Amino acid sequence: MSDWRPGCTADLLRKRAELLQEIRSFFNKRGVLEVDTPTISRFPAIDLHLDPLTVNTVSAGPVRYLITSPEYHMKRLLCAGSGSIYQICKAFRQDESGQRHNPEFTMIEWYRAGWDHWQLMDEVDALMQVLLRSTAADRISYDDMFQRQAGVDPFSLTAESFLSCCEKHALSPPGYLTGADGSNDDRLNFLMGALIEPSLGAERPVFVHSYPASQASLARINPENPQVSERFEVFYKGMELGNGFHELADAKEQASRFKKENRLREKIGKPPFPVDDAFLAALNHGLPDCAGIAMGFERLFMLAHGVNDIEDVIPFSWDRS
Amino acid sequence: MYDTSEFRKGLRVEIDDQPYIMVENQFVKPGKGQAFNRVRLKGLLSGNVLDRTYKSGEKVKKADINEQSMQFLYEADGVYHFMDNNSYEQLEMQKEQIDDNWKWLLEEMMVDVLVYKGVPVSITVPNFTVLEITFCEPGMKGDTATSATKPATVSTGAIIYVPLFVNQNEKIKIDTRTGEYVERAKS
Repeated sequence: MSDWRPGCTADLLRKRAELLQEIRSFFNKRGVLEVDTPTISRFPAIDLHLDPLTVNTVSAGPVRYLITSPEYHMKRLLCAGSGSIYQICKAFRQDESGQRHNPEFTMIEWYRAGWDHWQLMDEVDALMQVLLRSTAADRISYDDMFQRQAGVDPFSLTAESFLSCCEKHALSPPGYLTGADGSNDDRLNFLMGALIEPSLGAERPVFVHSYPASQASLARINPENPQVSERFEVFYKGMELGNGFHELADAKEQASRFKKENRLREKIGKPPFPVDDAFLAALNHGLPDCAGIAMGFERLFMLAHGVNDIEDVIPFSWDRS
Repeated sequence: MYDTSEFRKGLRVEIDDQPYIMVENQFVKPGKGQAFNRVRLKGLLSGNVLDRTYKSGEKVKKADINEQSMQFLYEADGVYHFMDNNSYEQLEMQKEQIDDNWKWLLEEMMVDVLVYKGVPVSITVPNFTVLEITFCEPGMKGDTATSATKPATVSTGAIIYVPLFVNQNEKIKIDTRTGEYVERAKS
């Protein structure tokens, strides 16, 4: 007999609904508008390490994509004058499966018109204090965090300093990072995931800000220090909870970042993606100065109730779906 | 070949011509970065523990390994003889390969034999077995309240700790994974 039962208990199902209610009431009180944007999109997000699931919506036509986040659509709403908006929706990412990942998951994404990323961090902190009963969060720059936790300068990392850092911390670096042609961003991400993240935010949440410009994604570059971007991530109890930006508004710069991501994708044997013209046209029209963040709902839920495996908070996770 | 997306506990893989079993698998995706799997592997022959990291999409060789259900025939001079009841094919293993499992092996018992590239590597016995006590000090009638135990020798020669009320010539159920007494077997 097939196992038809849900993976989460009736108690957690009720708590899940309560948590969603708390989030909606948080934004409602603050005058942030709830919106709904497509799950199936004509264009995928273009990101070196994000792979969307594809859908055939007509028998002989181009494929469409399940969103990896609602970012482009929400920014089109902002460009059209929506003001601050939030959304709780499903997002999908190929091959992302594990104790903290389900290929289909729930995302809380919101944008604050007229805010920068520092103001947004305050609001994220307030939301966590409501949902997780956490105390006020810490803030640390990417640079300081690497110096402190890994003992390396992230901006002058070399193959040698990377290897000696791995050795010092008894890490086995995978082959793609050890050669002279390995990418420093890949090395930093490995140290982040394997060494630093597990110990981040043990007592209270921590915002890691000022990511290297090479990892800006859709964040602005800091006008005073072009080495860093206005991107941050938030961690609590060794788990990444969200990723935020002071949003890039320059259409030309956005178009050139798309090109660069596609070039990098091709370099590692991935297909390049079609560029979302509508998104670029919206930026051309004008994105108001804003900051935005995406947070993983299931991870917040796991932390709110001390659950260790994402499968236990989703009624029907990937293998039960 | 196994792709990283197929990684899971219990997977048997081959690295540098050695078979390993995956005992831990952790998927890590740092922010916007390249995802990877951190795995811990245990050598099926050596017992050595190996930590490895694989980039998402990397592939690892499947170990040429299978589990065969076989019957234990007899032991002679430290050599254990098994037979496949379908093909009548027989194989033998040394005491070191049998490990602690000699404690539970009774003639005619069915066991799972792990075979790597045609060579038997290890065996797995049923989780529970029933053995007769061949020697122990006399029981104390009615003493079911204390948690005190006494050593008892069972028919295979192994020594098991049993409650005081259990007697010689009785049959007892044993958990082979822990080597502990479970209950008196109902006969």
